[in-house]
Amino acid sequence: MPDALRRLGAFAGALGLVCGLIAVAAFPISLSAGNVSGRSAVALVLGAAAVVLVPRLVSIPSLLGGYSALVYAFLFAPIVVVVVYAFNSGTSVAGFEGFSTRWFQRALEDDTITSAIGRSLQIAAASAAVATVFGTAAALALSRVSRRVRNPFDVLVFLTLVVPELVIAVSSLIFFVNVGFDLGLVTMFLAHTTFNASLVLLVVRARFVSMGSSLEEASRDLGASAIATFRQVTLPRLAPAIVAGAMLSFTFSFDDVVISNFTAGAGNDTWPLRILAGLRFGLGPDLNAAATMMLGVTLVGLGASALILRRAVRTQGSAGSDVA
Amino acid sequence: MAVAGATTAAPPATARPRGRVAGAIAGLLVLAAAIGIYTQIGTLGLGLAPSVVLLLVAVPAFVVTGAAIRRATRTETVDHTGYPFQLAYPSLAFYCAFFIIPLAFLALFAVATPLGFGGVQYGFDLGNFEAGLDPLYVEVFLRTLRTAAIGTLLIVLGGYPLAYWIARYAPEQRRGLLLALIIVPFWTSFLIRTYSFLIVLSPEFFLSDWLQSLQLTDAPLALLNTTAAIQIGLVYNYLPLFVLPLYATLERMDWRLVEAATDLGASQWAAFRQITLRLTAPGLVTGTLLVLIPMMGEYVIPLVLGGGRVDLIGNVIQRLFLEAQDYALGSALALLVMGALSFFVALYLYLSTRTEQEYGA
Repeated sequence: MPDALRRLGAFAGALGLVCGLIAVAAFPISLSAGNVSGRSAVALVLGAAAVVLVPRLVSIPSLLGGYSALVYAFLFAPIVVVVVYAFNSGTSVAGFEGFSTRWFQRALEDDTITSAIGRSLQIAAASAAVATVFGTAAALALSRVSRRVRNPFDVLVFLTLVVPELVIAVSSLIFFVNVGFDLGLVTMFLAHTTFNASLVLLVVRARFVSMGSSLEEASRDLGASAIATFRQVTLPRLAPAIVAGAMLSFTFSFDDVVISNFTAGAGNDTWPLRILAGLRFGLGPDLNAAATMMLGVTLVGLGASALILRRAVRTQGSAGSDVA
Repeated sequence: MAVAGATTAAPPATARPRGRVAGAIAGLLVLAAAIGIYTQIGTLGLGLAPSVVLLLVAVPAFVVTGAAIRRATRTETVDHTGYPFQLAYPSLAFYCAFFIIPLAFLALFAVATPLGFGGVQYGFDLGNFEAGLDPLYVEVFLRTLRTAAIGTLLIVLGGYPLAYWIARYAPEQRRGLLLALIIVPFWTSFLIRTYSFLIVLSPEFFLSDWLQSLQLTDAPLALLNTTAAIQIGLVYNYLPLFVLPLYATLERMDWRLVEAATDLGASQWAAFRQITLRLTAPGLVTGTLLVLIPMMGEYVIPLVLGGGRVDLIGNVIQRLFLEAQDYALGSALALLVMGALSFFVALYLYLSTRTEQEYGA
């Protein structure tokens, strides 16, 4: 019980410290704006007191812990709000009127929502698959070539990640329009895959380089072919990185707004584009409901894959094959 | 490595002048063919699928021919333990076809003369850049820079203590979970996360009532459609991107150094400033750029939370392309933004090589 109390104290302390800092910082701003009231003076005194007292009352580690809890609350509060408002019975955006699940049914019946999610799944799956194959192959090829070959390629990969998405999107639009491609699912897939291949390449290569090449060399020395070495030695050890890269790609592609917005053409709304279109006509609780369902599906999928990965790591660990 | 070193003791390359000339001619022919395919693909009247195949085939064909020519003109030995470089060709082709060539188109359009409705007259016309440096656009750009800079600062203030706490004080068996929790928001749609602030910041939401009853604000919250709302949205969406690379560096920290410093009489703050901050500088710089650069090109968050009343430079570019169809001016603006950002990237490269030299890898 005292443990929980201490944690609560740390959280309250961090909250007080942050509020105090804001109050102290706000004072000169309101001073320069020329509207000093008695209230802002009181806030200044209270804030300064908090800033001075809290670090003396609470130890720094627990203060940091409380602060982290605050940041986590900031990260999760909006998501909780969306989930809660999915069960709102009224049509109003921000006023909660009562509990209802009718928006879930409405979302499932809305053809524009379901077809948009279907399109997103299609593009994300295709893009993740292709990007994973391309990126992994390039990571294998690049890890042990000479610097002269690798450096230009690295610059290219770096560029695909550093150039703002908006620039990639507009250049893709110009390119597709002028080369005569019809904007649609294929163009979205192509534009996503460029970025995704770089993601996979980075993730896989980091793991591949840290693994060292001794096991591969041993395998080849003992007479295994290149393909057998890849299948039996490299691939199992790389699997976590490849899965991580594929998941990252899938997420990026599924969630992408900017590139999709420019390369989709008319009538090919993906799920994010459908939300964007919905926002133009004002929010609807049906979007909240659809988002909540998808969050549920994602969390279940994530949990399942975490379990599978943990089991894979355990069996691999017991076999003692991981040298790195 | 010793094995590889022994096998790569290559015999001196023998000159084969005739092979080299033939190789050069063949290479030029392939290059000409590739250029021809790229520029004329629209007039060939092919469908989408054959065009993609052609584009994808042209580049590796070019590369393979080049490699074959190199092999013909020079003897080289292959390291048997590595994977062949040919495995990189698919990605290389993809990057060329759908990244480099589109960027070249962008540059071409930026110096072309606009004809309206997305059409241009190719040429060398700097008028677009002149129009892009109009005070109106410069003002929007400066607003973008300011918003992104403040956002980055807030993210550092929010994210650094968090990463520090996880890396140093959080129970070891919980660290994986705590990191996963930072990523979980990424698994909900980015737009949903953004528009949730439309609910949270709306005057109808209970937050507004609370703040009023606490006497913190006089009137209902009026944050929506202001720069402040955009700022909150930016910080919220980019915070995890900053925390992850920073955590990677903090995790490698040797905390005994800090303990040694405080044992020797340094204050907590001095030890933090002189040891922790310096050793984590690479992660800090990486994380900062990782959030600053995309923030500069952001247009979705201002669109949603600014309600079209506050423009960042991304919104201007987006409207030029999707609404005004002025591709030439839009391209010039995009290039200008990229030029401004390349300054930050150069700064990053400079800082990262300097810290590497100072502290070793």
